[in-house]
Amino acid sequence: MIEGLIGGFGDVFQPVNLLLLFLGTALGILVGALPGLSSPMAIVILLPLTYTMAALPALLTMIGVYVGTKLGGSFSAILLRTPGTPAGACTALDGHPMAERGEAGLAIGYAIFGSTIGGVFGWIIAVAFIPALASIALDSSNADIALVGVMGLLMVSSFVRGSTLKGLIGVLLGLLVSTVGLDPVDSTSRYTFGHADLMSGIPFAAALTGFFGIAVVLSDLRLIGLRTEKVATDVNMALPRIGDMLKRWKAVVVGGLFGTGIGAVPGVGAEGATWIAYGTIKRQSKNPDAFGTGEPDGIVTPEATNNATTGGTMVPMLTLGIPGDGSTAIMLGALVLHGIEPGVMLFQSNSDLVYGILAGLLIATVFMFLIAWRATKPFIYVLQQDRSWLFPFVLLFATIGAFATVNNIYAVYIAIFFGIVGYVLETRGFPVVTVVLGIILGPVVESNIRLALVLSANDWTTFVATWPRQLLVGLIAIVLAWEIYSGFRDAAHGRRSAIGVSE
Amino acid sequence: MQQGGKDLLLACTLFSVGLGALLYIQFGPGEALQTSRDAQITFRSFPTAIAALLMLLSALYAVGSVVSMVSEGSARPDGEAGNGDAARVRRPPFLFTRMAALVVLLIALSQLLGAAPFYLLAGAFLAIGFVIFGQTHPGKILAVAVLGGALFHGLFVSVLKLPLY
Repeated sequence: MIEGLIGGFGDVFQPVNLLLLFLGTALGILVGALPGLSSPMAIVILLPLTYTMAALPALLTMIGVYVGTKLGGSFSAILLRTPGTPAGACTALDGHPMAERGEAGLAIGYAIFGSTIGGVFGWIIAVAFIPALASIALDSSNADIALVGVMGLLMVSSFVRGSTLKGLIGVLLGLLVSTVGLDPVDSTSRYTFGHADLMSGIPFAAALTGFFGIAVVLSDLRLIGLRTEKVATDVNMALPRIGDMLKRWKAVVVGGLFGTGIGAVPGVGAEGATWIAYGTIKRQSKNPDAFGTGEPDGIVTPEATNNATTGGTMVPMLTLGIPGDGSTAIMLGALVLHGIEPGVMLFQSNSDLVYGILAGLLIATVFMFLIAWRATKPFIYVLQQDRSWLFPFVLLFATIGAFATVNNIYAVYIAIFFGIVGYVLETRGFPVVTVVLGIILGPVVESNIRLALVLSANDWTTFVATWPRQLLVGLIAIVLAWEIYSGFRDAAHGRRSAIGVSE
Repeated sequence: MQQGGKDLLLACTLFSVGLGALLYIQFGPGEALQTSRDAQITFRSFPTAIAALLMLLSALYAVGSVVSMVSEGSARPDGEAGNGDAARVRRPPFLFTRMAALVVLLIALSQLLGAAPFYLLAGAFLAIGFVIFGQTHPGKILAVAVLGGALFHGLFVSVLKLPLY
């Protein structure tokens, strides 16, 4: 593993790779700072620009954006009380009160400190677990992979924000979309309606462009006329003192653990993890009443959590080919576009790439710290500009990006279709990430279930033939039973409808 | 429209999608090229299960929407029924017109890609996009659109060599 990591760092330290990683991280901080723009959106519009690159530089650029946006969201959360990313909302609770009492620079310093240490924490966990899990995954059979896929889909729908029912419906829609084209075992055409373009299925990158590019811009039309608040331009980032940082070890550890652990659960992402970690550190605090009034732990914890998820999401992505969130879903799409098959074989067939990605993750975290430390003012300047000039650019990038996936207008129509679908679903509280994960995991689950049955001569007990499979089936049953129970319990208490409508 | 009403409309749409998918996969023209005679599940099994589950959950969603509509109606005094959301959430003027215009603009761009010079298309797209997003200064719009068109042409046509002209 050490040799692999050294090799990975060697690849990343190539000047061009380093430059792309740096630029990606700077772009990520910028995008994260601007409400209305998001990490998946930025990565989607980068897709066409990275087609001509080799796989590692393309992935490094995306990883830079991914890591940078995690911190960028805290800038607007602290200065405007408007988080640039959903996960930044928690930071606003204590960050903005600090800014209001003239300590904006120190609040940003705490955010940078928390993000950096959290990112390194997540990276250590990822590096420790990925090679071991990858070797276990290599021994897995079709039945194991099918069960892991089902488990992943169930976890996605259970843990996403909003209702489980909407999560499940989103997953089913994604699964249905994934069945378009030739079926993975018999090569029978399904739902192609006689169109040759649909034989190879829905172009995944075009669908992503629709969900994370066009749908988001349609939503951003609501921002028209919102005045950009003026914030203090003389904010000088002030890192907390070493002693103060050491005092906050518990906030970092809680954030790091929750970020990595929950980040590794597909579909949950950083948003849920930050709130859980914030609640935990608040409960453990000697002075919980200080939270919400400008308590530094209330900034450090969510920021550490947020950035630790970058390591957590890499675990299922690099070992099983299951993305942890929307951004990693697009990275998986980028891998496919570069002719690399994600999944359990990735580590064995492309270990150089995996180690390069892991090395890039750490270096992007270091870049994030350096850029934020030395260049806070330009980001604050951009924060005050009129964002409506940006959206048509984003839309055009997304549209041409969809075209570039197959050099065919058909992909643009697919993107427009999924853009409208994504907008409608998000408006009604359906997280589109569930649909995306359904599209990704659909072929994995279907082909492995069918192959497992063919190999076992149609013996369904193959799915409980070994103890890991029994464990997985047990977990699936428990998660399903818990969700049904909690849905009815919440409905009985009037907390939300059993089916989560208009909560 | 009430929130419950919107949910009901979406639930019915989702149910229709599930029903359409179920009927098509059962009675559509699909035919296995390499029939796995021993296979217990076929190319139809997975989509059938998904479509059936989608119909079931959409039906649950619809029931919940109706319950929600009833509770919304009973919670509101007579004469106050209506769009509660609109009162709470500020919407920019002509929001849905702008959305429709944006979608039409995207479709128009798709139709014209490859048929007209890309820098002109990109510039025009940006200019109209700026207007849709509420910009009103013609000079600024023109300047940014021209520069943007040149940027897109340089990037996608000259550098990335996409089949556009």
